[in-house]
Amino acid sequence: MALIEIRNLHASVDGKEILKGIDLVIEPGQAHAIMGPNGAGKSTLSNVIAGRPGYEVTQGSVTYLGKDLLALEPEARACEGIFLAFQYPVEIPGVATTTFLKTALNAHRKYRGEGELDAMQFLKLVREKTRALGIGDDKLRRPLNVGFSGGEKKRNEVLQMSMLEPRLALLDETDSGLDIDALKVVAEGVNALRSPERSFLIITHYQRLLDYIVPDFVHVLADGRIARSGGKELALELESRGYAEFTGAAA
Amino acid sequence: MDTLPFIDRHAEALARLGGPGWIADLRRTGLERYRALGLPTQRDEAWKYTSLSALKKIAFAPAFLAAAPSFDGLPALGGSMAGEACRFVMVNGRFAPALSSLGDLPPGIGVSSLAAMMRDEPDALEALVARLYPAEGQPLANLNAAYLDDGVVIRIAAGASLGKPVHVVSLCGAGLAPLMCHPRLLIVAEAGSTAAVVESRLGFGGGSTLCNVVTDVVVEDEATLGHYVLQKGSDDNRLLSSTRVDVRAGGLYESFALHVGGVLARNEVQVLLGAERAECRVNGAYAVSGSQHLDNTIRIDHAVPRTTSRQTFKGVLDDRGRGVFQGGILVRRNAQQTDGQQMHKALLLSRGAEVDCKPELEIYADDVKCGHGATAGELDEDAMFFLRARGLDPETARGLLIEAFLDDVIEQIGNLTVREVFKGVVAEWLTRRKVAIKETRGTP
Amino acid sequence: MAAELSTVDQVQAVADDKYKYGFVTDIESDLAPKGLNEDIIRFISAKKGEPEWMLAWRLSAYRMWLTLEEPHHWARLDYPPIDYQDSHYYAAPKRKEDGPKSLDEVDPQILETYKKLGIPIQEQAMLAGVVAVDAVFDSVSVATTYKAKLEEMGVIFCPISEAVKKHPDLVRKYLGSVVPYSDNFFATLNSAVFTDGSFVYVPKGLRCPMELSTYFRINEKSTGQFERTLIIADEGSYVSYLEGCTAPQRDENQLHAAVVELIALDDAEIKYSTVQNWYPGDAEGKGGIYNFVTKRGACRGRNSKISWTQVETGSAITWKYPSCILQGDNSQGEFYSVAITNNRQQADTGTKMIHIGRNTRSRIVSKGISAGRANSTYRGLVRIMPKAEGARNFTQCDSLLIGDRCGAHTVPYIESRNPTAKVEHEATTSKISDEQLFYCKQRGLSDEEAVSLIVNGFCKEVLQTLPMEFAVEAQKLVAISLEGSVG
Repeated sequence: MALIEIRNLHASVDGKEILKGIDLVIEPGQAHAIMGPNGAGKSTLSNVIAGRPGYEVTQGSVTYLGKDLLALEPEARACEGIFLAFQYPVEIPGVATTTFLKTALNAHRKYRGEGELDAMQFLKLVREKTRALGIGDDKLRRPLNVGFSGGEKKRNEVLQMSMLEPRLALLDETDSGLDIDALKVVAEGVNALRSPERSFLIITHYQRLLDYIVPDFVHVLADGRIARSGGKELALELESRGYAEFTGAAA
Repeated sequence: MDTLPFIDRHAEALARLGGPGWIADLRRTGLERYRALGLPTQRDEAWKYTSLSALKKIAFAPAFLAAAPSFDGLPALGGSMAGEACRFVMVNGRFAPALSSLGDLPPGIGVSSLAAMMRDEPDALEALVARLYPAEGQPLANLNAAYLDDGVVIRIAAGASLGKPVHVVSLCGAGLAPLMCHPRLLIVAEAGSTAAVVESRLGFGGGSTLCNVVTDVVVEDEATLGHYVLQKGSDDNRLLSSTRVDVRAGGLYESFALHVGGVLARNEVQVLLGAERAECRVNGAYAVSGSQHLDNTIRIDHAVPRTTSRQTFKGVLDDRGRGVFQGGILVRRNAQQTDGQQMHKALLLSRGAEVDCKPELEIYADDVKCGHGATAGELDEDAMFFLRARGLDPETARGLLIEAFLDDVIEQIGNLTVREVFKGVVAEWLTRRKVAIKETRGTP
Repeated sequence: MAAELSTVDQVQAVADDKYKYGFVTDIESDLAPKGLNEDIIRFISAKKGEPEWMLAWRLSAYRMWLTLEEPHHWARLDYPPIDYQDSHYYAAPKRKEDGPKSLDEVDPQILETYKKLGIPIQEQAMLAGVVAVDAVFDSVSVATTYKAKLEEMGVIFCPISEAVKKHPDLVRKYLGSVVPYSDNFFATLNSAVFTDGSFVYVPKGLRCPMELSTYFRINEKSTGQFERTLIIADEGSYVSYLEGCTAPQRDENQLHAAVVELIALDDAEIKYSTVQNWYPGDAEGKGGIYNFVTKRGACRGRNSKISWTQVETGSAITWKYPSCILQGDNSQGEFYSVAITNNRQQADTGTKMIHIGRNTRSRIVSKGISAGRANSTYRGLVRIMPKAEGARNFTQCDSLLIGDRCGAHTVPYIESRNPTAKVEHEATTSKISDEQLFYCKQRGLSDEEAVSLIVNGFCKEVLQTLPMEFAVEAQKLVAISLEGSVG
């Protein structure tokens, strides 16, 4: 069974149709990259999958592990294993990063009918994960994302991903605002999480990220549709030729 | 006999005032409302820090019933301003053509005496009648209406764009007998126009005066109006000013009140942002000394979504001077995406000075960006030390820092001409202060 | 009813000068008749077996009260007129027989809340009034042990009615010295009719090693309608006092008017924490407690410090301004507040910091949260008197709105009369952004978990000033108070 199956997906924001019929199937363990010009609907796709309010699905279906994903609340989708790494991670003043991690992790465990982790178990787990990502304890004590640099925010997203162990990770422009060193760290974190059970949908404007997180498939999204699909070499081709032919086609 | 002040000679005054019948109605309504409301007391939250009780002890006569003072000293008061488009002068609330210069008004602008309009263009004035009725709950504005006599009506035609400011000079002075006047200003900036009005409220000593001025401003769609007020009175001049502003869609009302003299002054400004994208900046600076008392009371009403307001006031308090700032931001239910900020900063220069500040937020919508800040304190010690380490004497250093403190907000004045004039006024105040300090200290 | 009336007749028969302790025994009634007059006050005083000076004080307050008007013109509160004659001003504590017989008889909604707060079943029984506290609760013995220990150290901690009799010198010296009986309408009423409350005296140089009333909060019976608290920290002493309870408290009396007076002498420190969770009324605003409280502390001594922390989540109406009079040089005042209003609740709360002495310092941190159709107002005064050389104040006032039917208001009054003083005030207004909510939900949190997390983050600076175990309960309380406010 496919992990996620998107069929003829149409979606609008504020009454404006952004996605105009997307078809996409992701099998367990696969990494798919979605590339495309600005305004093509790349981020909309990830937001629709995650269930962000304000994104209205007008047609089509999304089946996730055999279930109708669109019928689920955002938090249920999260607990079912869908993780969105935000392009702009949100700041929550006064809430320590550890507190947030623990609350999120326990929400997942509760959903699965598992008991909550106690403080010791949790700390052990979080230490393990942070060490791998090079995140210091001081960051964990700080309010979530408040005063974090772009790189720190994205690393924090990867940390959450590694704690929550999703089945499907949506990386929304994870490379935006990162210098090359920060990008490498984030990519290593993501790569460490790749496994035969876990799938990725990587949304990016630039090919650069795909040098470090190598996809199995690349799709070009233009004007709300997948205009072309191919292997990882398609990314290189786009890098040299740009999106002109697609934007032209869309116009 | 009336126990309420200011109206014991009202009947006598009324007999001397002309105008069409509806003006008489307006005066009657004003009187009735003033009687019903009474003079504000410090029990009213809006008047918590300003007492009018001392005024009750002075028998102010309506200016036009009092003996006219000598105007010999007028030119020295600086009634003209560099770069003005025209000058409209009032003396104790009445238009003074001889002192005015309205000769070549730029196209698109009308500047008329209210009394003249009552006489010559009653129909045109009647079209503005709604503007002439003050808000019901305001005793002083209604007192003004009770004596409605003269003032100025400024009309900026749709689409007109004026570079130079219109200058309205209001002079107050009395002979021996205390007098009061109740001038009325009406400014209408029609759609898409851009203009600036400067009001100089000047006073001179001799006898006690009370000027109870009411200003009504309409900024129509997409219009921009700069409204700059300079208050420079003497210790015989008392000023009560109520300004009501109505800003329409996409309009911008920018005001600045600079106060450097007058024994008692109250500036009350109420702005209604009643259409989307309406914006206002109500700013000011003040320097009070002696036993002067200045009260800035501002209330911005964000009545619809997507409106913006700024209030920034800075004040310097010397001697036994007292400054009051009451700022108000009201965000009505559904006025989402309001952006409202207020700030008051006070510098206390002397023992005996006092500042009272009440920046108030009243918010009934959740998607808003509102905040305020207030500080009170003395000059920054580090900055003082730095300047002295560079060889400045303490008074010079202090003067420099005070000037910088006030200039910071004066810089926000949109009209460059006015900005420079106002900076000059502050510099002059500082020079006077420095001289006064030298005199008190005498020779070492 | 007849019996009560005859009681009143008896009381009436005893004029001022004929007042005798002995006659108290003649009064059998547990309940004063409705209404307020001098006889009722004599009745209360007699019931409490008070000395004459106490009665005289109460009567002076009562006579003053008759001349006062209920303050209506400045607070942003809207409530129907209170009929002060339609209330009993004295009721003996309820006996066990009057309460529910078992937890099964208790409102399940209350039990649900107890559960959410993590209150042990035994304590639940006590809170709900099912069992008498002294019958089973282990902590009573703990309490008794501590009480003995406190006595040994010289700490006086007892009901104020007991202090009036046992420590009249201290009570006479300090009662009304911070909040005079003439202070304001509600404080004056309290001065006339207060029936219970606590008295604390901490002797010189003693650092009271425990949070007073932490162990007692459960067994304190209904804290009453007109509570009166007096705390004196003598030179160099320290005491932390905790008032209230996170568990929702119901009370038959709609009007509450408490007075709290704190006195800190040289180098003394008082920390006073409150969690107020009186019945707020239903979602439509019916019922609920009117809470008009006067709390004030005097930092009389040099280097003294008074710190107020409050978490206000209950009551239909909250009118409360815990204040500090900073008389002593170098004295410090602090006010940390979380006020949550939901549904139709209204709160007008804040503080007053009156700087009189040199180098006095104050800090105000206020977090107001409004949800539903509630209105929450911060009203605070910072006054710098002319002799307060070098005084400092910093105020941070933040409001959080949840939903577009509520109101959040900020009304600071800043008055400075000393050029060397420095006053800073900042206020912000925000909402829980859709972004924040979605982010939390994407990480698996429900609406309510997300709101709880975000609001607790918003309040953190205040909550962390609470004593540890109370802070945990307060966090849960924050979440419970806002249930149903989003989604």
